[in-house]
Amino acid sequence: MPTLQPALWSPTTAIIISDSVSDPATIAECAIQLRERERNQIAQNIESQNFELASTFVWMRAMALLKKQLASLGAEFVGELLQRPDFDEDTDIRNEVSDSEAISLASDLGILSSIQTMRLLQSQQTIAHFTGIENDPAADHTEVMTREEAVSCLRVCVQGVLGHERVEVAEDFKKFREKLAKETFSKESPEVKKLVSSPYFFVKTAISIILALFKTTKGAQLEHTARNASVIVPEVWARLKDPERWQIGQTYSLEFNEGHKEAVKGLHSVLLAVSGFDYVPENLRSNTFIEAANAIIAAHQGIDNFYNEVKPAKELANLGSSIPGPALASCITAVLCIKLGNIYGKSWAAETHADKIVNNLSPERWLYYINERLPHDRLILSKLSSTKPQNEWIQLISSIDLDIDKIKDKMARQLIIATIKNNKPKISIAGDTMLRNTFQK
Amino acid sequence: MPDTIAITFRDQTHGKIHDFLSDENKQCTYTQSMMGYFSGQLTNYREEGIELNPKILICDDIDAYTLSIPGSIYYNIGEIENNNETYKKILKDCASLTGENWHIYVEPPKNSITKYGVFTYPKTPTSLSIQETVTLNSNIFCSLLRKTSQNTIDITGSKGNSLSLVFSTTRISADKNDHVNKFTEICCKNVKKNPSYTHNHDLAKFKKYLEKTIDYIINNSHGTILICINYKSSIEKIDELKDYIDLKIPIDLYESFYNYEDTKNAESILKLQRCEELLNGLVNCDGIVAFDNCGRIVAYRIFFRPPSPETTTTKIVGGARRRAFEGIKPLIGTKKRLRAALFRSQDGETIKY
Repeated sequence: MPTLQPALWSPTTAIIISDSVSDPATIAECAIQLRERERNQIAQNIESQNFELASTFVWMRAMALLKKQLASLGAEFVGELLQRPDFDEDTDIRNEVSDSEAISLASDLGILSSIQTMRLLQSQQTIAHFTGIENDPAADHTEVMTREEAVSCLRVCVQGVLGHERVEVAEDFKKFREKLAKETFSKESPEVKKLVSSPYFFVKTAISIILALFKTTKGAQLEHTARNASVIVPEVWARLKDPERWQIGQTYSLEFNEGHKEAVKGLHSVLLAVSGFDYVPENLRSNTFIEAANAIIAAHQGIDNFYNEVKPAKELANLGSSIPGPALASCITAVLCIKLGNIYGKSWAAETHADKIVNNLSPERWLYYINERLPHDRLILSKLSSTKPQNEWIQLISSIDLDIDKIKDKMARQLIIATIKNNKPKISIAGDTMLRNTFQK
Repeated sequence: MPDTIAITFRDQTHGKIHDFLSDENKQCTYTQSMMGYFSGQLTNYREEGIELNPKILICDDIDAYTLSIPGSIYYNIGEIENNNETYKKILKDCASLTGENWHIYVEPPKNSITKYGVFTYPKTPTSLSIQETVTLNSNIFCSLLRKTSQNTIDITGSKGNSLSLVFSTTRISADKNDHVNKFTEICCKNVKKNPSYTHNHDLAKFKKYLEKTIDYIINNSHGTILICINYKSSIEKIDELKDYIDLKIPIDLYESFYNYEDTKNAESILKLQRCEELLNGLVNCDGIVAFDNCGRIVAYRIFFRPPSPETTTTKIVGGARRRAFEGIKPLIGTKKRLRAALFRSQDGETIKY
């Protein structure tokens, strides 16, 4: 795929503080979003070895700021990007968006660079684990955070969020989004040409922006959006993975049921142009599955995850064995979160319910996930190089009778072959490579 | 020897249908005569003494049409060679299968064979209506015939053209939908005062829903009068409308609608549908039905009694309903208790005052 053209949007490259700096006071000094008193306290707490206290505070401030910026884009828009049908304009982003969703989205919108994203995701796991220990009387209280972990968390929070005067989405992204609703593109427009030759995640995000605009705009803006969708979607349809195709069909179905005639007409033209009506779900039952899957993922990424995963896992298992197509990828991601757990283990109670779902998944449905979602599933890919989740992955995938020849993605095929052969170093390499590819700008 | 002259609407109807089909880029004498036949039949179609009001979709490609409607299904009932009995057989085979949710489709003949059957799609209180679905795909010929009053057949085409065939000798006033729209707007004017109102409610959505509901119910009535009263006032205070049945607890369509919107569960949709059914029943009772201007139904079987018959100076032509409507008019105004009235005559005339 040609990637010589400049990216459609990209994060600012200003260096707030170098990776080599490890003095907490020097790093904290750059956190201009914090008050001086707070900066001093953070440095002092790290020096006094109160690593958990300092890191949790820094983390909470950084995430609050990040989510505040995402909220300024509009809750419905954020819901579309995250494929969260339960979001409406009154959803409180600060409460409803998990930390890792916020980080991943910030990466897609050019707020964070790929390396900052990966480091923040690592820090998040560390923070969640140690905060969970404090709340869990049964946990091993001799485990403590190290100085390196605390400094690393502080540094990446400052580099990505707290060190910036204003945390904003990439300027190019804002312009692209505005143009979609204010101008009509042709196939020859530079934006369309650039998008067609961009890495997949730009295409995926552009589709989410278009669908969000279908839901939120009216009049002339809706007309521009519909015409742009008719130009852009046919150009990228062949590259689109099934979850994104379902996303378009799902939006059509949703708008039909909401009675938004003009939006339905616009989406109808798009689906007609690409013969995409097979991706229009018969009903919105899939929304219930997606919401249950998202609840598992949110619990998995939050504090006390081993305890909090149980309830949503039970709810998903009770929804029935026939998972609708549009919800399948999200449901498998959720189930894998429970089955693989994290670097500290997994929730045994939630696993009982996850097993019920896994037992009803045919090899064809696993192939669908591996082909259509796994290459972009940051949540799962980030687990594959950690010992405990990796062992669970090997055990689970080896038990499925997969037809390797039907795996289309080259790296995914290498990953599955390494898994079946129990080749752990290769699993780590393949997983890391796939994860890096999802951030490729 | 004296001649006997008979006048029918056939020539006019066929002429207008021909023009309509030309605008829809469909030149087909067979389709033209089929639509003419169905239009005539639909005005008063009965089987076993029961009146049936099927909606008929004439469509070149039922697969393409249903493809664009999420969850739609159709059953092919028959394939028939064209002859004089074709149209009659289609109605005979399908009309009694239809109702509020099932409709007839007919594919104009290919190789002189006409296919027909019934179709449906899952409808929510807010989803697109059948006439709106017709215009989704202008690339295929598609026309919907439906009875919208005792003597009116509306035809909607996929290219957006429409034709109203009114089998009446009275003069037809302006667009009916405009009257319903304006009346609904007044009924929603103070929904912010409804106890169920919260700032996150999309009021345009409720207005659209109420307009569709009122339109559907008056289309299926034998004529009615709806009035809208200020939410702070009471029918009791209007001398001319003392004879009525008060709904002690108003039927709160607004509350039921947003209960459904917020929860989207089976219980809330059933509650909303039960409210619609009740409204339908109230409209079919004798007398006037009263809404307030925050989306509630407050009274029914309201009878207009002029204070003294001598005060009426203008001569009113028409039946009791028309007389009541004319009598109510002076009670309406922005400073008065009544804010609007919607009149629907038996022959389909709709007027908002």
